Amino acid sequence: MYAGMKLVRNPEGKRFDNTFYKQIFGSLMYLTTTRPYIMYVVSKISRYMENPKEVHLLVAKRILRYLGGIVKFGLFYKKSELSLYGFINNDYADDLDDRKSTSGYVFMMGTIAVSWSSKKQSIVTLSTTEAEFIATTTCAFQTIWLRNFLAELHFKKDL
Amino acid sequence: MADYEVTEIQDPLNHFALFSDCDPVSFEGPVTKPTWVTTMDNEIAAIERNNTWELVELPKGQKSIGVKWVYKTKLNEKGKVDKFKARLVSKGYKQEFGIDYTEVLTPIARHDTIRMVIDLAAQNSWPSFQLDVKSNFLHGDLKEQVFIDQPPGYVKVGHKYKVYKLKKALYGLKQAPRAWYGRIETYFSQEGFHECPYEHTLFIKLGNDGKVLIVCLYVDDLIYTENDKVMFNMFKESMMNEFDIGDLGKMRYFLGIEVSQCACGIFISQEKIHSRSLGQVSNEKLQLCKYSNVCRNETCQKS
Repeated sequence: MYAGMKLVRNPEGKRFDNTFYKQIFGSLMYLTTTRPYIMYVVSKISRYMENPKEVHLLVAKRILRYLGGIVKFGLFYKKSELSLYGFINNDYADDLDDRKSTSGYVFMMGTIAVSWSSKKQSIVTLSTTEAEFIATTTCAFQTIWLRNFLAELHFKKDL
Repeated sequence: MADYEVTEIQDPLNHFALFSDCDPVSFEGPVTKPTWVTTMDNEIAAIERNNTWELVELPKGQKSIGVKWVYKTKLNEKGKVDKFKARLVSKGYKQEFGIDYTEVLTPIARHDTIRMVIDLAAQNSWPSFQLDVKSNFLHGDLKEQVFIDQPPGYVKVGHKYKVYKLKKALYGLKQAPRAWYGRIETYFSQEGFHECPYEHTLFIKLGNDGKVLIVCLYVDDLIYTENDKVMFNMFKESMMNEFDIGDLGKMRYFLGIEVSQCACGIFISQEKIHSRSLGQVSNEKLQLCKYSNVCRNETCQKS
């Protein structure tokens, strides 16, 4: 997958063994535990699990090649300021099959990411604003949970 | 081996050689081998010690569910035989909703939670540790009435038609994980832990002067972080009295995540899993799909 590449559900090309494709996806999903940066592509390739074509497998392979170079990478938690930052984004109507958008968020404690997600929105939106609102809502759910949770964990009310 | 049905054995000697390394799948084979018999004896003894069941007549209209033995040879990291394990499991698929099970949902720690706990430990330079509970599902108390057949090979003489009524859970039961969670939750609340209302697998115990012990539960694995040795030792001791636990010491490898703790922080990575999964997929199947610039040209045009 490269910048600006679009995937579709039913492109031309050979069909591939979907069990094999699903296995790759399963491994990749597991690796997102310490790698927020592959979250988007991994969730993207998961959409074509039922009927993977050559292009989809190539994208999966591209991720594996990328990962091959960063085997030792991970997340380093260290002392930093104790505040929670959240970032959200979405791509407007990027899924060419049903024109739904994908929203994603990352939450950082100080400088280190603790919680992240990338998920296709469940409804079709008609403007970037609308899509942005939906992304914000998803993020807000998580924010509320994280705030409550942090209050418990750090015994503070205002974070 | 379980996947293949052997209909006719052409060459018995060859056939035997093929499967001599495999774990037995039926009861008939192991019953003659002393290694398996001792492990089965041990398992039965552990279950009886645990006060898991009582022998009763099957009440009219009730059904009992079958049990079977599952055998596993555990290898150590050098690939040599470490120990033989026999586990008595119930055939949970015969259970019916509303009759011998109801709720099965079990809370489990989210990865977000685990990372938050790691972050908290790093922020405060607290050490984090790991415990695991052995045969955890056998500890769960059952609320439902479940009857099981007597295990093959361990039928009580003179009580051939009686069945066991379970008081505690057994592996394979649909509600076993939930029963276990209920058990440990009760234990934590007795010990004075506060259960986090936003994450049911996180338990916090506060002591005097800001002393704190935080426990995060993932089925049978526990991670905990603390700032007070006394509270920590008390907790470990009471856990040991209550359950059969294995102390894994400092947290190093949890759910496939490698954790290294040092003075300046905590580093988490997935090197082991990563190399393993990369190794698994880079086989000839992937070679079929040659790396090319095809995708760059073709798909781009199509979109």
